[in-house]
Amino acid sequence: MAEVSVNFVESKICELVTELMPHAPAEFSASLRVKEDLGADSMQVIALMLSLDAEFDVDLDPANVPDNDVTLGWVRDFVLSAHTKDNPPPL
Amino acid sequence: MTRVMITGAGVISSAGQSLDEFWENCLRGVSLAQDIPEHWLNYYQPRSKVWAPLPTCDYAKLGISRTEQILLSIPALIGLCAAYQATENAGLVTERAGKIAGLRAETRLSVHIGTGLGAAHSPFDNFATHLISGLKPKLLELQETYPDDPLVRDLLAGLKAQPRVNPLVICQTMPNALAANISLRLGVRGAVETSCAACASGTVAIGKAFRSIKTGETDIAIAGGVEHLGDRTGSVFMGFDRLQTLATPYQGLGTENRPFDQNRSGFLFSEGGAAILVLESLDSVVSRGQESQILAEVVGFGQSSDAHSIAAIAEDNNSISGMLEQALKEACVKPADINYINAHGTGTEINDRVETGFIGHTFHHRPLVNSTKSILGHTIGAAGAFEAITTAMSLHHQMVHPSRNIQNPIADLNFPFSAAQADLRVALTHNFGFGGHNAALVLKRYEV
Repeated sequence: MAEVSVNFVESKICELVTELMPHAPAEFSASLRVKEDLGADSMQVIALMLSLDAEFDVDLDPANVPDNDVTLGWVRDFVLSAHTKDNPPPL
Repeated sequence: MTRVMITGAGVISSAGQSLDEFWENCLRGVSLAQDIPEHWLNYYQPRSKVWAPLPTCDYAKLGISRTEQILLSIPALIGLCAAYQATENAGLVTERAGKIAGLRAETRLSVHIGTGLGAAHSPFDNFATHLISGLKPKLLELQETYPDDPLVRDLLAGLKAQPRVNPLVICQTMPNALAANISLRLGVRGAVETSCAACASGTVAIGKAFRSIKTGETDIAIAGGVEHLGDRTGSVFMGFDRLQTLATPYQGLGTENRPFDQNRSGFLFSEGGAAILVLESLDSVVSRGQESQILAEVVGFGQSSDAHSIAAIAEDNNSISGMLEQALKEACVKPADINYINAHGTGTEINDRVETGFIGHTFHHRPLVNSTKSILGHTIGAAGAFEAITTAMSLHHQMVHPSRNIQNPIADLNFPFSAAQADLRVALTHNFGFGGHNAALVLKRYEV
């Protein structure tokens, strides 16, 4: 199985936040903050976590999410760090 | 004294996903029985072979956002869908899934929901992967034996990675989540209550809503019943089957479910459903200019407990008589005033025998008697609310639906065998639940 590509992860994250967040981004931007910029409330953040789990098979435990507003770049890096060449996602 | 009106209703059911579709299918006396999922037979050999599954819901079309679909349990979702319909029908919202608005500032709102099992399937479905992760090798062996088994396939698919727990499993499972989600989506800030009285839950919830309006505590109440009994293994089905309460094979698909027939054998297991009503003070209805939306008036409520058995109805009828006495007294009517009884009518041997004995003994003037469960099957905590809606629709349209599959009645009661026009002014609907819970509502045709 091939290593997950950065472009694929970014486009999938963009797709999910467009579906779940009040303010959809036109395109992926690593600096966009989930709460401040995309308008997510706490439940929408959990919905994003559950969707990432279903999509990439990553365990985004609430305890591992920083208290401050995470950026899409942080989410991308989390997914990428969970899936290396030796541990690819089930795509 | 404040008069209490039913001004809206919404349903998600095996018989339809709107009030009109549900009512039409009731009048047609359709059969909803289908064979149970084949893979359930891999785990258990039930006596009953049929159930009434819910249709696939297009939640987006019903006003549910993608986020809600991810976060909420199935009973919470179908409860919301029915509540949205009910508030739309009552003219309380201007758009689907919108918050209730435009009322007088002093108007008080409340929510009263009945449920039997809440979202009992949620912890199972959420923790199943977690609990059985150590059994993955055995599951792989099972898959060789049952290569097409969807449960084994799903479980293995869920075991690709380390097991983890949905952070919302508690929020999904708690029975009050059903009422709470309606409250927060519709913006209801008054009393938000959950009634848990098994098969009488929906009736009790509506009764409490009625009383809260009648006593002036609230002006508008969203009330009803929600149940979802589907799970991947059919475990709830098996529990009822093992208790020998479910309808067994008779003369082909659709003939198994036969309340009040001599050859009845139990109830048709329903996957569940949601039935939600809007109850409202007459003053509120008039102030909103929505008198044309009134389906019926609620005039009496009674409840009692058998203090007899956790599962079987008491044969002596004493508690049921007490329940009825309360409801009729509050409604200021006598037994002879009742034109129509929407019976509990489960189709179990003991329920139907006790219920027909009680009706025959109490109502000598042969009111119409039917069983909505003969069509819908048994939705447990939602049943009383479905039957309250059916009763209200019967009064509104002056029609009763047929009681299905009665070939040889067990009692000489006035059962309609087909949909029939009738002069209905006062109607009774009652339910008897596991645990000995009895509850009754008296409804009247609306007259100015």
